[in-house]
Amino acid sequence: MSDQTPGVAQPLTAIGRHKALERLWGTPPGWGALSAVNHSTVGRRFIITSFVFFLIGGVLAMLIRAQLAGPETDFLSAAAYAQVFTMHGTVMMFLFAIPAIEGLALYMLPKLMGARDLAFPRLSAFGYWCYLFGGSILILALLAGAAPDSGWFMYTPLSSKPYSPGINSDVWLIGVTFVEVSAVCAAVEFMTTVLKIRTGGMALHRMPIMVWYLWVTAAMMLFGFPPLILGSVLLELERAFDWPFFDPARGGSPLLWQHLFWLFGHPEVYIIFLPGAGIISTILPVFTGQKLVGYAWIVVALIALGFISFGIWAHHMFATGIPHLSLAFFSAASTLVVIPTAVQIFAWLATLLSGKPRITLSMLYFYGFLSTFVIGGLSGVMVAVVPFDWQAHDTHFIVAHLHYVLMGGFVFPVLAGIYYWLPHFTGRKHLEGLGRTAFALIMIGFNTAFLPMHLTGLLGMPRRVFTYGGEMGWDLLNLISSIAGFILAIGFALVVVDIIQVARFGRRTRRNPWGAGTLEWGMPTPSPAYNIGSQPHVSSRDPLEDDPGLPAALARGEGYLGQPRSGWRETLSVHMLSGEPEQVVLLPGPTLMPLWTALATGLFFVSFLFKLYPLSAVAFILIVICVWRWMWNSGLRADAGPVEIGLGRTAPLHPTAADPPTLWGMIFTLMANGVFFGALVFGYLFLWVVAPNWPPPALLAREPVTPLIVLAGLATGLSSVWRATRANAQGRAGDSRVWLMVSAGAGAVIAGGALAVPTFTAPPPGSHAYGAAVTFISGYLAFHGLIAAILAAYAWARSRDGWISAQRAVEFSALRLWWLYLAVAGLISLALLHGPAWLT
Amino acid sequence: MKSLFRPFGELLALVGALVIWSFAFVGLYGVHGTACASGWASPADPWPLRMVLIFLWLGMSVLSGLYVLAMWRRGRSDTEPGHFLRYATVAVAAVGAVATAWLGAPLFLVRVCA
Ligand code: HEM
Ligand SMILES: [Cu+2]
Repeated sequence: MSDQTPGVAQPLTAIGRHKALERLWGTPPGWGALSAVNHSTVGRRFIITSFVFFLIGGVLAMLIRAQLAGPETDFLSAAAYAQVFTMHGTVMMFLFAIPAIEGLALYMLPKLMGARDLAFPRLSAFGYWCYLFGGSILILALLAGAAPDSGWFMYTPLSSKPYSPGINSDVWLIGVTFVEVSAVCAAVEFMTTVLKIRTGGMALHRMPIMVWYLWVTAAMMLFGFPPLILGSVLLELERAFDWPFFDPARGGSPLLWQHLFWLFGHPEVYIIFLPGAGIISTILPVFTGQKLVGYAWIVVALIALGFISFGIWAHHMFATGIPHLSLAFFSAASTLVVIPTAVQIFAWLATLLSGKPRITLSMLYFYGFLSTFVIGGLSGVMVAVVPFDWQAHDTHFIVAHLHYVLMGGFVFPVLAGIYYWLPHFTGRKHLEGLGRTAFALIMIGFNTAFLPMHLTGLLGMPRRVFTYGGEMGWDLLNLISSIAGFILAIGFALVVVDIIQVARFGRRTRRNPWGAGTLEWGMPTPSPAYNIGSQPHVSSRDPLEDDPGLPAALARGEGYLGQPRSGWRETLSVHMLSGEPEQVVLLPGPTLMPLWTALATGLFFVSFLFKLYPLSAVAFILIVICVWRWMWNSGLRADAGPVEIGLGRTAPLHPTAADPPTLWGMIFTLMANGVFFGALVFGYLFLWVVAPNWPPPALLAREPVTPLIVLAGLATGLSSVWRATRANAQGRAGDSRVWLMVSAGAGAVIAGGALAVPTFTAPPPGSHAYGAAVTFISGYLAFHGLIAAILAAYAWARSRDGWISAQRAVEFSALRLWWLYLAVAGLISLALLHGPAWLT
Repeated sequence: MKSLFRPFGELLALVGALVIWSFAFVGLYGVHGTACASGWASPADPWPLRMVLIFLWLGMSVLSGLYVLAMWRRGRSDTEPGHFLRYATVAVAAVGAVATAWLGAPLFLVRVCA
């Protein structure tokens, strides 16, 4: 934001506008590409990287199938096999499926909503680097022969220090957590973007159905990943410092890991499935020439599915001795979740039957999806019936079921989506011949490989076992599975060849070759960096259908924000319900800060991996410095009035608005944080109630000093933040800065008071899970006090340097939210920490 | 700030009954688990715990039912987005209420603490 005054708009031709916008939004060439923040660029990187990981996961699958092709093979040792199947599962789930979805959403969301970028472009870039670095850690470990080997769900005690003394499990915990950081960033990004960054007129009921799918998916990510991150952090603490969260001899419980893992793991299945279903709901209307039947029903079903799928986590724990009634609650939720899925299937069938399907490659994959998914669903129902599960548990039946669901529910819809949007990505049309051959190979290979596997499982072949004896009678089935597995792999290889071939040699196509109605097809393809010359005001779900001339009109600048000014990257922000334009969001340009921050984060994780803890502390400070510099340049240094946005309207610039996207970003971050904290509270209570060897041998010393210090800090901090806000609103900037200093001090006091507990009054963390939990909760509280202090200091510096005024005060709103959160979490923490000592 | 969060509140109202469902779920699961693990209840003497769970479940079911009613009663909106939101809110709330009621089935069919 070089120029601070809104410039006067010059009328432009369509070509002139294209050039001016491309200059503004483009990514610099050469090394400058590292500074890219544009969602198209970052989204493309995400998608391509995730497919590279898919190929790696596929090669690992081939190793598995080669090993299992015959009895008593000595191609892989037991140890190597363990690494291979663990990495296959981990790569497919964490490095392929989730990031592929993130990439698709990064690339498509703004385009679907007629916007120019996401709410927080730098955050997407940061997320990409975290993903790349975290994934690379895992792959490097695989090449070094030190890959994780405890299965993709890392059950303790198998993954605990005594059974897994090497670095392998640490690699998983640290690499995957690093990648999850990027998933949470993406979730915050998508939540905010769908809420606020749409084009004018796009009320809730006019959002393309895909946007609803991605929105629900993002919400599930926001709630699903924090428990996994918590579990990984706790397990890593146990492995690194011997804090016995999962060691029953000292009050821990392996079941805690299973709970935290599946609290994430089951919703994960739907996180993967929903975007796939979204693709289906998007392409079916286009290829049948019939509007999607039951839009509102699908929205309702999605929301219900998003919630209820969280109530199923323990169905993966049927064989662990949980009381029957507890399990029955989970079974109740499992049966219920069928209904929203059925609603979608009925909607698809109704759309199909009332239209005239055109058989394209995408539609072929739709039929492939439907048949496969139905089989996967049936075997799933079998698994969900409790006694059957005891029998099939941990056999290749489960492996077969899992792949029917994942391939059917995710990979095939994604292939349908790839062929649907390929002309959008490349600007070229594909010929269907090669693609159809690939489709045939994939369908035949897949079913021949995995259908017999149900039988192998029923015959008793356990999963995760590297070889079997010839007398078991499993040879023929396994040989068939292996041969078909390679056919399947050849099919995927052909798809890759096909895509590269189209991208390089395909025939240029006109805009919107399928005749779709949604806005992503209203831009030139491949899309320019700025997406559209101006943003439309929409009045239906299919704006291109209503007005085929719309793309040309937008290119002529006849929508919102058609006149580039002041060197700003502008996009609209709207009212979250009605879609009326509310603000002009000024987005940041290319910057290396996300890369630096990700490198500092990487240093933090890697130094932890190699037990160089002082270096981890340095890395943490580097992260704070990077984030500070990153945020510093956003905003305006002078007040500004509303500006023209076209179509005869005006709107304020976002730094001067009451609820800029930053505020919503903060709200969603705090939600994720709250889920993390909630999982922590659950874990603590769970251990207390369920784990053996409780109550602990010694509690905290009963003393009023440390809780009173924390309470005093909370009260002072809260009230001073409110006073600072009021002073700022009344134009008394000096006073407000004094109060900000006070609240920064209060944050530090809270941190100190919280840390005093493990230092002076708690039993050592290694002695018992109680000591470990108390130390962890204190650390959580101290950390949040510290961040509160840093945020207050940041607001102080911003105010001093003129970035804040009565009109531009988002720092204050964010700070108040943080302090409110801190107060609630602080009070709960105090009760958890000191309550037991005072009650007994 | 208040007016600012009003639309967000309407969006959250969309999922209100499902939030009640999750509380019912966690509550039933938690109370049952705690009662069994602490030795307060046992399969030999199931009724005290079963009554507590049934009351909890009834309470939550009634609450979610009232929520549906409240959403229904909020009245029609004259704008199109408002109309959609109301429809969706009532429908999602109904799903949440059914889900909450459905949680009760195991209470009558499955033995406690076994
Ligand atoms: C390319 C074709 C594929 C083949 C031939 C294949 C084969 C296999 C086999 C044989 C196993 C069982 C290993 C054992 O338990 O001994 C397995 C496990 C697994 N696969 Fe695949 N797979 C393929 C694709 C995928 C995809 C696309 C995904 C996910 C999106 C996936 C996710 C998993 C997971 C999560 C496991 C469990 C790993 C564990 O037990 O820790 N696979 N795969
Ligand atoms: Cu599950």
